[in-house]
Amino acid sequence: MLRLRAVAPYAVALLASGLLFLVFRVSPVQASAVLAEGAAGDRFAVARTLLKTTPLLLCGLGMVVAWRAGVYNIGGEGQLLAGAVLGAIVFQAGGAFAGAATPWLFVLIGGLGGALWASIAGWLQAYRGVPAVISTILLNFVILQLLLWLVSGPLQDPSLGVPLSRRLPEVAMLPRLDRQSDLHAGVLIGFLAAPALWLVLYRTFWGLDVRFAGANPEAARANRRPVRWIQLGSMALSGFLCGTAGGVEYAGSLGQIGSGLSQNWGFLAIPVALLGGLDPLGVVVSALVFGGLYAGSDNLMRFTPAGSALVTAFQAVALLAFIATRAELRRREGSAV
Amino acid sequence: MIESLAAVAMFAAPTALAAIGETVGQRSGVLNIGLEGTMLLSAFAGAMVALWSGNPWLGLLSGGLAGLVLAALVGLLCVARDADQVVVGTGLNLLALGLTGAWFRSLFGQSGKLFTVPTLPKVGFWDPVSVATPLLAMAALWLLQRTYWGLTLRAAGENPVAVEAAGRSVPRYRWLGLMVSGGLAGLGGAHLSLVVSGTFAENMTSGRGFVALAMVTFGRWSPVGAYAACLLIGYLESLQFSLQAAGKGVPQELLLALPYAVSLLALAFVGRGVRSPAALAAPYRRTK
Amino acid sequence: MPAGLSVRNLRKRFGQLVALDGVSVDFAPGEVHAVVGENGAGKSTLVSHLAGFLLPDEGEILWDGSPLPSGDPLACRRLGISMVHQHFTLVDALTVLENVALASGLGGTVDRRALEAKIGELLRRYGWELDVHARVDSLSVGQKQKLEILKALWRDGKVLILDEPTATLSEGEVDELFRLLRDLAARGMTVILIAHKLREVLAVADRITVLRSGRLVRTVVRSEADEQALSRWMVGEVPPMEVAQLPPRAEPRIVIRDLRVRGDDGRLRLQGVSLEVRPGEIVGITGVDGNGQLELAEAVVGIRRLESGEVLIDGMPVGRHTEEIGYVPQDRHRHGLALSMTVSENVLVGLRGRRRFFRGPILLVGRFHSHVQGLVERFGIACRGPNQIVRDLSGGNQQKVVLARALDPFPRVLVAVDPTRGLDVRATMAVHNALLSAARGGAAVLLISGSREEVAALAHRASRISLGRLEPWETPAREDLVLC
Repeated sequence: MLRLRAVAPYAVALLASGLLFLVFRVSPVQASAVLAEGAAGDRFAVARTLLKTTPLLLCGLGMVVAWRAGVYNIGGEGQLLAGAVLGAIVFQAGGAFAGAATPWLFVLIGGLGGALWASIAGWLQAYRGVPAVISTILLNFVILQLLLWLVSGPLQDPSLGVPLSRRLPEVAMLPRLDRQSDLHAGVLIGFLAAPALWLVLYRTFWGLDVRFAGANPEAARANRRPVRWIQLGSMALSGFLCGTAGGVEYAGSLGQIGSGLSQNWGFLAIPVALLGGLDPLGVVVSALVFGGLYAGSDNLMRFTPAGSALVTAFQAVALLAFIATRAELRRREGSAV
Repeated sequence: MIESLAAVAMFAAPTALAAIGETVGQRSGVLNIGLEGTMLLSAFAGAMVALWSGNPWLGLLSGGLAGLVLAALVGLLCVARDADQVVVGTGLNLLALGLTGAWFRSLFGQSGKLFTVPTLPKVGFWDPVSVATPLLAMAALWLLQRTYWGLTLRAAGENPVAVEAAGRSVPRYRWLGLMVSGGLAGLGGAHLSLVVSGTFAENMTSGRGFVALAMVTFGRWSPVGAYAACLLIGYLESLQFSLQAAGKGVPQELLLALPYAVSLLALAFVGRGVRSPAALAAPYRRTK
Repeated sequence: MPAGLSVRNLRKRFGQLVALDGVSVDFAPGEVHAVVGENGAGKSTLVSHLAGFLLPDEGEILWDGSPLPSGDPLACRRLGISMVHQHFTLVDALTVLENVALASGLGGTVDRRALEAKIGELLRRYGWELDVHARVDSLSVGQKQKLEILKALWRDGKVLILDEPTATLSEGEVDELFRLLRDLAARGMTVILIAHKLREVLAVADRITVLRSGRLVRTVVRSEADEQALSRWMVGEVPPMEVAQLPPRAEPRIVIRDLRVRGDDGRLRLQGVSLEVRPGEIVGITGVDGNGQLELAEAVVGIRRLESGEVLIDGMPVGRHTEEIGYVPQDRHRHGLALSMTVSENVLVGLRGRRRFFRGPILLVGRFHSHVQGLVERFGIACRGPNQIVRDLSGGNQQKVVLARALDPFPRVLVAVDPTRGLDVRATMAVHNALLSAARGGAAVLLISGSREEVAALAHRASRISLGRLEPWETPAREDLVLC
């Protein structure tokens, strides 16, 4: 019975999403085949998958930290952008030095940018009672506008006529793993971060603090734990992870930031985290699955122009079906007692 | 002067409708994070129906209906069962994003197509929805303060136990609160595509649903207060156009950020002072 | 002739717990009928049936000879049976008028004038003063109760049930209330009240029903009862409790001087409390919820800000960092444990001296697991092991987890609030033994409990807390009990 309870929500989610394809007049079987091919059919597909998995994974891990602490951070996208933006600012301001700096520095700066941005919301919730669920999204829009302003103004590359920042020199970009595809070393970060986060959450006292404060903040307080600090800290770490994703995008794939920087990865990472059970290792699986789906979504164009939007809808339907099943099972369990 | 007032009222209307509805919903104890998604889907539904039928009123109605359907989804998951309201709302937002994107692209191709939808007839500078919105705000206020229905609804959001002790059903009032929230947000979304922009574009709501949530708090959970707060936001939105026209040197992006930043500041300063409905977002289980 | 309310062979079970076991009582019109018993005796459960809030598993409830519409409190109210709950069902953010309107069962638009008029009339009849437009959260406890009674009497009432009405009232307010109850009875109403304070019961009741562990002990007329008899009927044969010897005089370990503390709502909850607890001593504070117990406990444990005054542990002001304080909080579900987490995790979060289980930041899982396993055996926690989710444990075992965390490593100070609430007899004994051995081991124990029996049995010295102040407390159970 315990097994059923764990598996059923995923099964229902899969079923419901399959139905979604039918609504768009796409055969689920054909779609699966085509998506699989696009996700792992050849080395380019695998590279694409890994590249798309990375921001989903890192932001997903960020969501895990915050949500487990009981702070509803839905501003992963803004924190990602803040990370990339800070990276670009430092590059521009650093002048000659920045050009010689290691790309990993930009990844770290990205993390800092995200941490700072998230801490605004963290402080607002802990000290002003402003719910993170609202403040983080509002901050998303603010940073987006800030980005747009910067790339068409102070950060704009003067030699180009378009809103893009100066390009990072090759030496400052993350090393390529595969000469022929775009795969870069940044994809490793997520796979290193996940077990590290697992360790932190389940094997350190701070991690216990985070989980306990999220499970029952009043009991945490009665056990003399500093709940506000815990929430602040987890928001900062959450933002750090999302900002790192931004740094990786900047120093790994793009080399410059522009008006098209936001691809909604931060937002799409939320269902990834939830479907991964808000567990670091589960999120790895979830991020790979959806990274693959998004990578393969270009192939879907053969059947429908909906493409990646359909995958987003797929994510949403899966999430809602998952939640509905869990809620229903909880209700049944309650009355059986 | 009248023209700019009408412009402000028009810009404010979508967010205001969502905020008014959500005020009623939150007073009953339900938090609808999915406002953004509701507005987006309703904007799409309204635009499409208006386009196909040639009748903007039909479009408006469809928007409202779409809102009701989505609110029912939230109700099934959060009121009839005890799913987390934030998770469900976020899922709803994602669903709207995906569905509208997918439908839009399948109908109009990958890059989209610019088209105009039939818009509501205006009287002078005023469209009917912009005029109706403040009236709806006052009607909602009257309903909440002067009727037994409103009284019970407010009690359901403050102390559901008291409502049960009075022999009434808490879930019923929360469902009704949700319906008002979804229905009005739906009308707001349809107004956005039919009147404010005259077209549909992917992700066109741009966070208005979240601004509406902030305005509910800023308006201290009064429908009229929320409307007034949204007028402020509408004014900030209209600034984009008026300042641009005047050729002033304020960067457009910063103007666009203004509504969000102001909402944040408003929340930060209101924050500690007011109490939200005491039972907000707490799932209620009927005592046997 | 007004009819009577009676129950026949009422049985009610909540899961494994048998709350009522074949109770039969008659409640006559024109009388004040008190229902007494210790915590968990079934009093609230019984009267909840009378007002239609609960459905019996077996037995019947008759009103005027016909069965009561059980499960439908609104219908019962229409019949004239209403209940004033122990925990008020008032909406704090609404006004007096609005609360009455809510309970009135009316529809359509709210006719404020008519409501004001009717409320005014009722207030005049009973000689009360209430501002109809005042928000409920601005009212005193006594006024809130008047409002609750007003709600109950709105329709012409035949039966008025009150659950622990005197809990947080001042003496003057209690007198006022009793005058009202006698007046209502004189007009032919049936007044049923649950009460804890035997002296009050004897002052107001015509007949008294005594319950013990869900069974009816007896129903007597006032003249047949006195405090001793009632105590005996309520508690039954009490095995002589090992009253701890008064420990040798030593420097007080806990010193509280003129403590003033605010509650979460901003109101002053402790109005100048002074207290001392020596090592090896159990000091008891008794009283009904809401008189400042929670705030006192939290101030001593170091998690609540002091408005003024001081709390010293071993001469140092207490803070969140103060080691060696064991805390058993009031509500194990709300404040004690995170139900979704394991026994190990719940122990670890409040563990004092946890350095030994960590190498750097990393937890030494094996070592800690054995430690918790040891605790499980030592405290007799019935579970599948340290990795079991706490939610699956019984109430008694959950409380044992809280106790284990508070008592290991051995604390210099132990603060326990209502540690046996909701526990069965065996679990209660286990908790009491743990408290006694903590004192014997030299800890300074502060026991705050709503169960006077518990405090009377365990404490060396005791006091009563009322409206944020410590008052003298005498109980026939322990003549030697000394005021702090």
